[in-house]
Amino acid sequence: MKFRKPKRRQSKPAAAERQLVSLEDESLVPLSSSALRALTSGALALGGMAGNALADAPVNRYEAEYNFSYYIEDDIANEKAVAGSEQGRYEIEWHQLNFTVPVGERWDVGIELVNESMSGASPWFVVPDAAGDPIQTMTGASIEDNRTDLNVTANRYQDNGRVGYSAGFSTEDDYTSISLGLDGETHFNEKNTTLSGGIGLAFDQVDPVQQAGVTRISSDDKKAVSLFAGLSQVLSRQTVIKSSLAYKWQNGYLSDPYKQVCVVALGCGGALNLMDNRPDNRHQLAWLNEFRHHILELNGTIHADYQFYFDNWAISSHTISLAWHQEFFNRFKIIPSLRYYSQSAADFYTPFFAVAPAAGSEASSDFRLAGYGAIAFGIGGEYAFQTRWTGDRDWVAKLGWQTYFSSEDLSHDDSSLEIPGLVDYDLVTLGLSMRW
Amino acid sequence: MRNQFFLETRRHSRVLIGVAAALLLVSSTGCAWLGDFTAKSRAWLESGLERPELNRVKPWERDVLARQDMSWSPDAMRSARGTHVYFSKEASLVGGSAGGGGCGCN
Repeated sequence: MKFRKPKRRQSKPAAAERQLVSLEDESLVPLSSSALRALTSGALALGGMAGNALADAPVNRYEAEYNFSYYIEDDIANEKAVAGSEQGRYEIEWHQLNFTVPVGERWDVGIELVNESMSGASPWFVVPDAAGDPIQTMTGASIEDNRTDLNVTANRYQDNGRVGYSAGFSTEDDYTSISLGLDGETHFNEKNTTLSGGIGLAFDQVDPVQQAGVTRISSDDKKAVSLFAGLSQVLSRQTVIKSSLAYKWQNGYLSDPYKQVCVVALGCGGALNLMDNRPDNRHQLAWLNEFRHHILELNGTIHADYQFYFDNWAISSHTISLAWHQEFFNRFKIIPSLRYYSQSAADFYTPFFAVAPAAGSEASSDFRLAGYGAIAFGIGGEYAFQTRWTGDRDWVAKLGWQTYFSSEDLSHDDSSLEIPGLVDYDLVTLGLSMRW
Repeated sequence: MRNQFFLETRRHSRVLIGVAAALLLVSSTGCAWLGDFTAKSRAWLESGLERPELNRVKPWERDVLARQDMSWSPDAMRSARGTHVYFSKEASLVGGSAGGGGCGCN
C-alpha cells in the first residue's frame, strides 16, 4: 500500500526513512500495521521541525518556492486626515523566491531573494482639528521605493544538532542594511529536549530622499546586536512546547527621517515642525512561548503562541497567535489563524506639542510608537499535487489572505489617546513550490 | 554619501566576513580547544537537562511530531512575511530568532 502525503519543505525525510528502515530491519520494536502506517506516513509527512522530530539531516531534495503577495492599506478616513491630504496609503507588490539545496552529507544551503515595490502616502505629522482632536497630515502620494533583499543561509548538521550561518543584504532607494547571523541547536533526552540559540549583527544606513522646504538629515547609520535562546520540550507523542528569550540592542540613528512633530503654538508645517527625535539606544526583550498539539481524530494541529515584550522606551506588548492546521485527504490544507496584539506607548510619543518643548527633547508622532491594539484574521489553503509532465516532482500551490485592523481601544494601555494614523491592511498571497 | 557608506560597509563587512570565516573554519575543523570547550559545555548542560521525566517519546513514536504542521514555522515564507509586516507596523521585537537586517519601512 502506498501512502503519499503532501511533502512540502520536507527537511528530514532521509533520516526518517533511514530510521524507519533500521527499525523494521532490526525489529527493535513490535510494530502493528497501524503503528507502521503511522510511522510511514509520519516519515513521509515531512519533518520541518528543526531539531525536534527526527535525526538532524540536511534536506535531501532540491526545493524551490515562489510567493507573490499584494499588501494594501486602507485609505485614511476623512475625519482623521487633514483636509486635502492624500488619503490613499501604502500598497506593496511583494515577490519572494527561495531555493534550498543539499550539499554533501552534512550541509544544506538556502538562498532567499525578496523584492518589494512600494508606493503611496505615509503619515507625516499630526495636528489638532478645531475641536483639539488629533488629525493626520500625510506625505504626498509621491513615495515610491523598491527594496531588494538577499539572504543566504548554510546549515551544518551534526549527530546531535545543527549549526547555521546566515548573511543578508538589503537595499532600497534610501536605506541599506547588511546582516550576519549564527544559530544552532542541540538535543538532550533522546531529542525530547532541544536547546537553541543564536546571535545576529546588523549594520544599517539611511540616506533620506530630500524634499524642498523640509529639513531632513542627510545620512546616518545604526547598528544592532540580537541574541536569542530557546528551550523546547516534547510533552507527548502529539504535544511539544517551546519557550524562548530574544534580546536586541540597537544603537545609532533610530528616528524616522520622514516623520515630524508639530508645535501648535508655532504653527504646523514642514519647516516649522520638529524632526522626529528618538533615543539613540534601544534595548528590546521578548519572551515567546509556543505550543503545538496534534489531534489525531481530526487530523489537525493547533498552534498557540504568546509573547510578552518590553523595551527601554517604555513600550510593552502582548501578542497571542492561534492557528489551526487542518489536513484533508493528505492533499489539502486549510489554515485559519487569529492574532491579537496590544502595545503601550513609548514615553516620548506625542501626537503634537501645544507649546515648544525644551530644545533637543525626544519626541515622535509615529503611530507605531503609540498605545494601540490590533486584531488580524487570516486563512490559508494549500494543495499538494504531481503532474504527469513533471514526473515525481512534488508541487504545492498556496493561497492566503490576511486582514488586519488596529484601534486605540484594543490596547492594554489605558492612557491611549486618539491615534489618527493607525493602519488597517489586507495581504493576499499566491504561492507555488516544487521539490525534486 | 552612498560612496562613504559603501566604504564603511566594506570596512564592517571585512571584519564580519573575517569573523564568520573564522567561526566557520573553527566549527568545521573542530580545533582541540573548541572540542574541549564544547564537550565541557555539553557535559554541564547534560547535568542540568538530562532527566528521565523529560524523556517522554521514543524515536519510533515520533510519527506525529515529524508532521510538518507540528513544526514551529511550517511555512518559512509565510513566517518571513509576518515578521516583516509586524516589524514594519508595530513597535515590538518579533521573537523566536536572532533576526536579520532592517529596512526603511514606513
